[in-house]
Amino acid sequence: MEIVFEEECARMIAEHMPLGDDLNFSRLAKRDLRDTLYRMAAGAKRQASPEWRCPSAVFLFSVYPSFCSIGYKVKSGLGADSFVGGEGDRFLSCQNELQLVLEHVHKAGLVPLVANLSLGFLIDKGNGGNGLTGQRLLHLTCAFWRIFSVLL
Amino acid sequence: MWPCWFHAYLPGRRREAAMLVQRVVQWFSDRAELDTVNWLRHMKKAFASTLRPLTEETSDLLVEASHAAFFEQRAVNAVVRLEPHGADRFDVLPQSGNLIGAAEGQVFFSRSYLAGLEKWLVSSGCLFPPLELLHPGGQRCLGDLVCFADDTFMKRVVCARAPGDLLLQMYEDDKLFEEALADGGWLQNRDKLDVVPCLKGSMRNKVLDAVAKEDGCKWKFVPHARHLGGLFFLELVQSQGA
Repeated sequence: MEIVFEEECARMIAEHMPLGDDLNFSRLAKRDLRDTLYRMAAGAKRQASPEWRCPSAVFLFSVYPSFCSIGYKVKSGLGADSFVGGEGDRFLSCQNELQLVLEHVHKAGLVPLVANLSLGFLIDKGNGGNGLTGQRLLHLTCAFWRIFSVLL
Repeated sequence: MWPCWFHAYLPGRRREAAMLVQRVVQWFSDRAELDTVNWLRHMKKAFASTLRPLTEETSDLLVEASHAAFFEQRAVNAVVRLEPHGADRFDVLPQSGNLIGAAEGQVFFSRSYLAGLEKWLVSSGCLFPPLELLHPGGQRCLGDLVCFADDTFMKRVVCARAPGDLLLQMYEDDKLFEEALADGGWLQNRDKLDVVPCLKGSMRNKVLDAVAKEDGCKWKFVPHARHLGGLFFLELVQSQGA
């Protein structure tokens, strides 16, 4: 079946846009974003990441810079999430954008395709088998969407 | 929803508990002078082989209706990207099972797998008498089965005296196990199957082994086996009990 991009977009807009602004979706998105970021901040920051996402630490720096507790209040620069008119505005803007994405996810009932994309690694099982029988498949997925699905 | 004999992926359910339960039950059965046969089964096709209808049923059972669509999309849209050495990158579309890296994969698999095991318990119930533990609170718990992820440890109480009769019962039990789990897309790894017979009386264990070999049975009748990282054998349990 041939998919015409414009028609598909028009169909999706017609299907999901009339839902309009719904405070329930906003509330859900806000809760999911907060819980996901808290969970990411509390968990291990993996060094490895697939090419379609940034490492957890970099992601947290940009979206939730106060994840690393410090002994004093940072008023400017990296980590200043409450300093109005400075770098903090940009971080809050990132959070708002992400919240809008989650709001749309709840509204449409659809997750981005990258949420279901996994980078596979074949490692030796050590059982002496040849081919796939002797290999184990490890998956590396996007941490944000993985934690999002845990919290559902 | 989660039976007491399942010991993985859930809060408070640990590997050590699974090992301890079998040791305690073995000690009790030894004190009661019961003849038992212990099966340690591993699976060859497990996480990645669960059939999609089962996964969807589990998703409906465990997840809110409004969120079930997210997991259905994961089942349908999942893509695994592989980059082998010396070859071009290619994408694989899994047609069954769960991604091991996915957070919900283990719980979904466990719930589906438990349904298969429960089916096996029902179908094999007439072959061997059940071994139940009486909780001080009055509840009765199944004491003969311990499941940790896809590894099962089954202790069967033996009533048959003749080794041939016992062997026939064991064949039937194994056949029912295979059939019950084949419905879900799973397959037993027979290379790793260990059977630890604990029959009272001199030489009965060896006689059973000899009869099985004579019958062409390829199971490994061993005096001890590794269960979840620990070594399980009768003498250890007896010495700990004493």
